[in-house]
Amino acid sequence: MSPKTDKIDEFSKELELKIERGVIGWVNNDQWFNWLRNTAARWVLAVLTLAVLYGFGLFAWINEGVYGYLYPVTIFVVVVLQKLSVRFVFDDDSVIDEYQHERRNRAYRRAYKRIGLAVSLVVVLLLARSADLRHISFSAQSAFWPLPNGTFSAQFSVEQLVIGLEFLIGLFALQKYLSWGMRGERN
Amino acid sequence: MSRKPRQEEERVANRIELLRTQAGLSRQELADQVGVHYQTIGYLERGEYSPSLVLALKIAAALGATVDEVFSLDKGE
Repeated sequence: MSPKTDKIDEFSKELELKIERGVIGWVNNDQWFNWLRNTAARWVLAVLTLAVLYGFGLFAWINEGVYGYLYPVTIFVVVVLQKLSVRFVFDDDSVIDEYQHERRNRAYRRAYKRIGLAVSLVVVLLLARSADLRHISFSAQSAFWPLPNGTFSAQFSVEQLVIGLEFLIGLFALQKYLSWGMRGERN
Repeated sequence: MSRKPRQEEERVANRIELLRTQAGLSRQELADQVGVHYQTIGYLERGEYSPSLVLALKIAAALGATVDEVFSLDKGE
């Protein structure tokens, strides 16, 4: 790459960063958004997040069609509302102070624990579902591998797979906001 | 030595609100001086958050007081 291209790249990156920080700074400091930040709003947002992620997700999974396209849009809207509610603490280290930093780290710890628990639960359920525990037998051959072989068969449409993927992305994206807690800001 | 459960930990009491009012500063002004969000000043004043040593020093300096004039251990007695 030529030095000229490098300069243009550098300039566009700086401009992008400036615009991003400018927008985040404006939204963070504008009191108009405070209605999203009190405890009542945090509760409403948590219910809305769960309803969209699980409720609408299941609905879209069953009905497919246009709901499959609406699902990521609704997740996106909820993510934006959550970002506004917590003042973008998960997006930019430079705009948060030590209180927000500490609370953010606690939210990350909780989120990882919850996701770990959920993944473990799903794996155990799948194993339990796939292994026919009534017919476990140990033979000389299987003595070295005493766990039964699990089989799990399922048939999903492409749309359902996409919705499943969207659900996973939403689950990971929103978990930290749910773990942030219900205590909102007070004046 | 084992760590005490969170609810049994000594809390930090403070006189930020009193000294801030005496100094004629709003939360926003104090927050701007010490480089935190104005909501964090609220959490500090209500005793919902104990500051780091650096922040405690900055707050004391902004209020024209020493750290032990602003903060003290609240053993819940």
